[in-house]
Amino acid sequence: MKKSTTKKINFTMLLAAAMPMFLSNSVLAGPGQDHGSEAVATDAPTMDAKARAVWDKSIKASLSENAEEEWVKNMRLTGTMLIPAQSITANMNILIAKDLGMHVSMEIPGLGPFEQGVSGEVAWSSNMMEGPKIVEGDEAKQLIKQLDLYADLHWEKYYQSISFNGQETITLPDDTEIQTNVLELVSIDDGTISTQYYNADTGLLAKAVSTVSIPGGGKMPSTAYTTDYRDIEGIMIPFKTISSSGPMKQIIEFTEVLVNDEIKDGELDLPEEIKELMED
Amino acid sequence: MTTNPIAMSLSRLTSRKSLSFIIPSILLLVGFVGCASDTVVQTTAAQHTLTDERRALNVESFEYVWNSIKDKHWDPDLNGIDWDQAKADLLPKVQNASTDNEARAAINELLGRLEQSHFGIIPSSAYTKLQEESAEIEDDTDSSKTDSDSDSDSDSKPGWSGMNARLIDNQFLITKVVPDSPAQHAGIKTGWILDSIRGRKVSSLIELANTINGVMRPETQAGLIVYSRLHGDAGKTIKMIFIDGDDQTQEVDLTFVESPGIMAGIGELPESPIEVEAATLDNGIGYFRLSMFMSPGTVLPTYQQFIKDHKDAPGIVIDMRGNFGGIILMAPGMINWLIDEKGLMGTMKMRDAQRGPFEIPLMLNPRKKHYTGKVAVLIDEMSISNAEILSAGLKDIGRAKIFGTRTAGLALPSVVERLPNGDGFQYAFADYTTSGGYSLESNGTTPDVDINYTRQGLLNGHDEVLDAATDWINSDE
Repeated sequence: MKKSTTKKINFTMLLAAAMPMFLSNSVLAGPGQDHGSEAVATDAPTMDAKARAVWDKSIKASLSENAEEEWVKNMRLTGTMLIPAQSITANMNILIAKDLGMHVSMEIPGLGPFEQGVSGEVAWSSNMMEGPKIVEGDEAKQLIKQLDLYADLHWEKYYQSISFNGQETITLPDDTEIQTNVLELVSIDDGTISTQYYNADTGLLAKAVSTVSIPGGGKMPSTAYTTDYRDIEGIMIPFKTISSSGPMKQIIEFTEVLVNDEIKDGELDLPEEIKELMED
Repeated sequence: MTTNPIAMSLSRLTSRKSLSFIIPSILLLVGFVGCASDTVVQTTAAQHTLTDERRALNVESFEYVWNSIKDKHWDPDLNGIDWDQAKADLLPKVQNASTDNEARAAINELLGRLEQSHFGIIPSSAYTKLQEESAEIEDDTDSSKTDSDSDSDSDSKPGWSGMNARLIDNQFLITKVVPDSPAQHAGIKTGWILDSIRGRKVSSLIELANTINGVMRPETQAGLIVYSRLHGDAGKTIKMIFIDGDDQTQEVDLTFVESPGIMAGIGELPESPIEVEAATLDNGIGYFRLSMFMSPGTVLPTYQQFIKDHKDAPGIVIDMRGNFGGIILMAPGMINWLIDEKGLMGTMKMRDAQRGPFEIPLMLNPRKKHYTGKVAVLIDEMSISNAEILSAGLKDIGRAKIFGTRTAGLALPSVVERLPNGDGFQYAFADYTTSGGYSLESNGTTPDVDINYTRQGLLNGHDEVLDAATDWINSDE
């Protein structure tokens, strides 16, 4: 019997949301980015015993045996971002250096370069359409937190509570089913809840349902599947992330990941056009 | 091969059963709006009793429509409609329908309960109608090839006539003839009435547009049909008949030349010529026209240079007439050069399957050295999608005065899918509201000064809409 076919949903207009969607998923499979600033929790963060077991297993599986040494100082990632609905593939380069900054650049055919970064405490973005911009508020916090490459070890900074929420079988984008341990995470900033699904066998994060801060103070839901984990010098990096937010979908694939690479002078400095904005 | 986006989309209908017809490729970066939706083409579909198989397909189609709206509409309350009750009321009508029309009417009744445009069923026969229209264009092109000296082939480039036409008082008037264009060389003048094109009476095209009677206003629908006939492969010759300024019939053979615009595409959108025009009018007034929001790498630097060149001008005119939309981020990107404080341009409202509704604000971020003088924006019924978003955005923040006629009202992102029974199903997946809370859906941007071309004005060489804008800029108002 003939089925409904031909879905042509077009979302290039929302490319501004692409980077936040990507950045909602820590490169090192760390916490999601459910953050606001309206409320500040006062009680000490808590994690129940079952959640702790899942969490520790994840850290051991993804961050190597000697994670506590926090030996990864920077990561340089090269890859692509695909918007399937439009058949648009953008080349992407990311550099994240602990305590120094971050720089994300994408060259999107037909749209030109999109850049976003953090230098010290200043988050910024620049693209052909919006021009240079200092990123503020929750969106800036979200970017700055990316500099914490070992966020999972510092979960108390980000979550008021993490609790075990049972086991669940989930279906991955390739239609395979896996058994997962489900954790519910409550943001320390505003109490926003995110849900993370850890592969019961491997301990690795498989799916995260969270909320992403976007320009203008908006919040956007995000569901991300982290797949194709590969061992890079003892840490497990998800080389493929499939994110969706409402009807939008993007696929990030890395082709190369370098750890503790040399950072060139000025590579993470603020662009001149951002400096000019700060002088105003 | 034609690379005209409209004709291409029409021919795509026949070749790939992709139902993104009429203006999809132009609008898909803002979200595309199909042509027919909440009302349907009156058809003469078979009225005989349905077979069991056909009835099952109609029921399956109903279920698909019902579930799609339930799962994908941006408003989880579905505009306050009791969706389960709607199913209980209407599914039996589909199950008991004795004809396709009866089944279709029941599905349309289901969608009608939403009381929103961009939701509707397009009868399979409508596709046949559009296929015929598409075929006519192809036939015209093929037949005119014999009249052409050029050896046009599948590698030919998009061609252009160098004139615009608008439906005014139920006649298509030539509103613009570009200097040194094929239209000018053929002796065509503004104010002439387009009587027939490619062997088809324009009146019948207007009638066709009125017959389709979809979410698109007839003048916009007809305008797009005529637009498609005024474009073709470079080197092709077409025949046209006009009524000139003396009410005499003029037969014209016009050969398309390669479009002078920038070729731009993105993703699956094939390259199309984009016209950008930056000029200085009398009294130093700046004039900027853009036919589509594409190729930001070329268009925006041109626009920025235009702003810089006219920083001391008493005013600038942004001409959005006949702009078919495009990359939405280019709209705030242009507005950013006209404002001095941050703000909101509008909001996209969607729904996530797991997290529910959410909104994406489109923010304005002023540029350094922005323009501070008067801004006039020109619009018409062929200002579509992002052109509406830009004009409404400027109007809402009080930064521009808008001249012309109401825009198309086609700013909702929507899609069309094919149902199991062969009908088309159009639905919007997001809502867009301006910063003032005004929905552009169906409404369009309303001008501050409602003014249109007149035949006499055009015959006298006047663009009365532009004149009104420049008069305002030159006034003390």
